[in-house]
Amino acid sequence: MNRRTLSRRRFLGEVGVLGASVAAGGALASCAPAGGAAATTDSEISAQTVPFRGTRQAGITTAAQDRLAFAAFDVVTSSAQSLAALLQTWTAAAEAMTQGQLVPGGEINPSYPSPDTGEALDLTPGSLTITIGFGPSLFDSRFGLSSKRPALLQDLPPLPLEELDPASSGGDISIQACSDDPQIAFHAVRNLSRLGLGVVAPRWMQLGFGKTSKTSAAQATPRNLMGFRDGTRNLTSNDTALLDQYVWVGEDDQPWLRGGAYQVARRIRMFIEEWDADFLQDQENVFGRFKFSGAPLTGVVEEDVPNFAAVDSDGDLVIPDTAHIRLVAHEQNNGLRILRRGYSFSDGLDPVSGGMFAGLFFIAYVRRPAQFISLARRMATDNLGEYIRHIGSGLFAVPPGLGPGETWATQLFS
Amino acid sequence: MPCRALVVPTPQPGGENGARRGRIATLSLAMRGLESLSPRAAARGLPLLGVAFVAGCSGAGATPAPSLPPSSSVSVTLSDAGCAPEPAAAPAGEVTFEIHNSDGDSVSEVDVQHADGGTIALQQNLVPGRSSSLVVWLDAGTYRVSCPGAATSAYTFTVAGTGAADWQTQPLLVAAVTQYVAYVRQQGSLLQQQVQTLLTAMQRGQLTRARSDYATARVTYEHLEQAIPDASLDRAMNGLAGNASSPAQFTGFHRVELALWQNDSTVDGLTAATGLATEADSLLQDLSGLSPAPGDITNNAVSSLTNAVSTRLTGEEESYSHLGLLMMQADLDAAEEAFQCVRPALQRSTPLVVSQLGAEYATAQAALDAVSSGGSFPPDTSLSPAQTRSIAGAFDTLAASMSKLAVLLQ
Repeated sequence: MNRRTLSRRRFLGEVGVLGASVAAGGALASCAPAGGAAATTDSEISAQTVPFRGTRQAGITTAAQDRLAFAAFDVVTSSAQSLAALLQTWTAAAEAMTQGQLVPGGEINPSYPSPDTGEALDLTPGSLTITIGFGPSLFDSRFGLSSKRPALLQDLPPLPLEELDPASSGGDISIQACSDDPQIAFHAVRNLSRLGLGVVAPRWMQLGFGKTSKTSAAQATPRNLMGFRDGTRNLTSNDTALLDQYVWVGEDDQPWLRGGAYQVARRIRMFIEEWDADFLQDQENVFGRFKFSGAPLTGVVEEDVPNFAAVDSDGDLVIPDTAHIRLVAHEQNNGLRILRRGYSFSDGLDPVSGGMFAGLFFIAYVRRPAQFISLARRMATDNLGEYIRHIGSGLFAVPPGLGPGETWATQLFS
Repeated sequence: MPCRALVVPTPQPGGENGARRGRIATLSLAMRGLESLSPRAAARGLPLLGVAFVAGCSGAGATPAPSLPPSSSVSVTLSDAGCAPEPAAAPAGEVTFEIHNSDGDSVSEVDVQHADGGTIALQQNLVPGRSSSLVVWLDAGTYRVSCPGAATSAYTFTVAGTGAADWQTQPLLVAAVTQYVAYVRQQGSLLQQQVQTLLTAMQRGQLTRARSDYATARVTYEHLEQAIPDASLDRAMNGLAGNASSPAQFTGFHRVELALWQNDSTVDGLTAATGLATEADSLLQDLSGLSPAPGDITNNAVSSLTNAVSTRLTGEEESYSHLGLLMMQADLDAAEEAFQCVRPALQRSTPLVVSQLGAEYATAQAALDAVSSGGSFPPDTSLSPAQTRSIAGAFDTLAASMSKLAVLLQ
C-alpha cells in the first residue's frame, strides 16, 4: 500500500490512473457499464476503423477524414538503434490507436503515468489513420541511411508565392494523423510525440479543422476557406491506373519506398480579409469556377469538364489565362496529376495585422516531387497569388504499407 | 526595469556557515582550484553534505537488489455470454489481463474495476477476432472484471495477500529512503541558516550581499521544495504575487525578491524576510516527520524537473531577479540527488534504466552548460528559442524517464 502514501500524486492512487482523467472520485459514470462507450456497437466500431496494415499506408487514398493533426519531428538522438527502437514502438502504438485501443507500453499503476494520455477514451476509433514519412535530412550521415536516400528526396527548390518560415518547415519525420474527430487526431500525435521524448523532438505542428479534398468518388467536394469547392478534379481511390502513374513510387526508386509516395506539405496562408473584399465575379475569375455551384465558368454543374478553349463574344477566354483551374489543369500540363489531401486551418490572429491567421494546409501525394514543383511554378502567374502565401514547407518520402509483422523500423533499416 | 546580468554570488571565504549548495558550491570549489574534479563529483565530495547522505546516495551499494513483485497472467475471453477471467484470482502485484474477443458481436469492452464500480483500467473497441492486453497493478482486495453488453457483464476477481514484497523489507529501498530523508532534512537545516543570513544582511542594509544570500537560500529551497509535506507552507514561502489573495498576503521569497531587485530596497522586504525565517523554522519541524515511500523520491524529482520547465524556464518564477536558470540547475541537482538515492536499488534489477537515465541527465546538464558562461548563468530572459527548446526537451525527457521509476521501487 506504499503507493497510497505518495505525497504529491496521492489523488491518483484513489481513483485509478485512467479514471482520474475522466472524472474525480468514484463518479466514473462515463466508464460504467451504462455509459456511452457501451452504446457503440461493433458494427459502428468496424465502420470507423481503417485497417492499419496493407499494401499502402492508410491516409493517402483512404477516404479523407474531416480532421487533421500533422507534426514534423527532428531526430535528436545520435543513435540509429534508438531511432529504430522508437520506430518499432511507434508502429505498435499507431496500430493500437487506429484500432481504437489504448497506447500500449507498460502497466497501469497509480504511482506512475499511464501509458496512454487518456483523452481518446470513450471515443470510437474515429477512422483514425496515421501516416509516416521521412524527410531528406534523415538520410544524412547520422544514422547510416545515406545509401537509402531516394534520389528524388531533396529539399524543394525556391518556388513562386513563398515566404517560408523555417519554424514551420522541414523535419526528419512527418506524422499525418487524420480522423473524424479532432481529439482523436490530436491524441495520436501527442502520444507519438510523448513516446518519442529524447529520440525525436517536435519541430512544427499543424491542426486542420476541415478537409479540402475528397479522395473517394463517394465523397462530396468540400470547400476551402475561400468559399470555393476544392478538389473537384482530384484523383480518387478509383483512379487506379492514374494512381500508379502519378502517385505510387515505382521500380525506379529505392526498394524500401516502392509502392509508397512522396508527401508534399505546404502551409499556405490565405489573406482572407482581402479576399473577402474582392467582388464575386473577380473571385470566380481567379479560380475559373462559379463560387456557389462549383461549375467551371464554361459549365453548369460542378462535374462539367472545363472548356479551356471557349471564348466570349469579345473573343476573350471564358476561363482566363490566369485562372487557377487552367494553370493547374492536367489538360494544360501534359496530363500531370497529383493527389491532394489538404485541410483548412486557423491559428488565431496575425499578431502584426490583427487579421485572421488562416489558410490551407496543403498536402499532396506524388510519385515524383517534380510533379508538385512543376505545378507550383505554373502558379507564378496565378491570380490567386494576390491572396495567398506559402509560409511552411516539407517534403517526405512515405513508405508503402506494412505487411504482417513488419514495422516502420524494419522497413527503413533492414 | 532593465534585465540585470546574473552574477553568481561570490563565495564567502571560508564559507561562514558552510552552507552553499549545488551549483554555487560547485563553482566556489572550482574557483579554489579544484577544476580537475567534475562538477558532480566536486559537489558530492564536499564535506558540506551530511555524512549519511554522501555515503548513501553516491556510494556503491553492496546489498542485493530488490526483487520485483511477481506478475500474473489472466486470460479473458470476451463473448456475448460474458468475460469470465481465468483464473478469477491472482496474488497482489502486477496482473496482465490477456483479452480476446472470440465472437462477441454486442460486446467490445473490458473494464477492470474496484468492487464499487470505479474503473481502474479498460480496453475498448475489441471487435470480434481482436486481442489486447491490460497490465494493471492490484493490491489485495475484491475487484470486478466487466464487459458491458454481455449476458453476464460482471465477474468477481479476487486479489490475495501482499504479492509485492514490502519495501521496508528491502535493505536497498530502506537505505534509499533513509538517505533521501537525511538529505532533505539537511537541506532544511541549511535553509534555516541561510534565511537567517539573508535576514541579517537585509537588516544591515547590505543590498548586494542580500541578493547573493537570496540566491543561496533559493537554491537550497529548490532542493527540498518537492518534499515539503505541508503545501500551505510552500505557498507561504514560495507563492507568486499573482496567486496572493491581496497584496498584503504576498509574502515569502518572491516578496523579498521584489524588494531586492525591483525596488532596490532591503527595508521593503524585511517583513517578508522575517516571516521566511519563522517559516523555515516550521519547515524544519515538519521535516522531522517526513516518511516518504521510495516512489515518492523519484516522483518528487519528476516534479522538480517539470516545474523547472513550466515555471523557471518561462521566467514566471524569479521574475524580478531573472535567476531562473540558476534555479533550473538547482532543480536538476535535486533530481540527480534523488536518482542517486535510488540508484543502488535499480542498478542490478534494471541496469539499462540506470544507464539511460545517466545519459539523459548528462544531456540535460549539457543543455544548461551550453548557456552558462564562466560559471554564471545569464538572465532567464536572454535565451534564444532554440536554447529554450533544447533545455525544455532535455528536462522533459529526463522527467518522463524518471516518472517510470516509482513502479520499480515498490
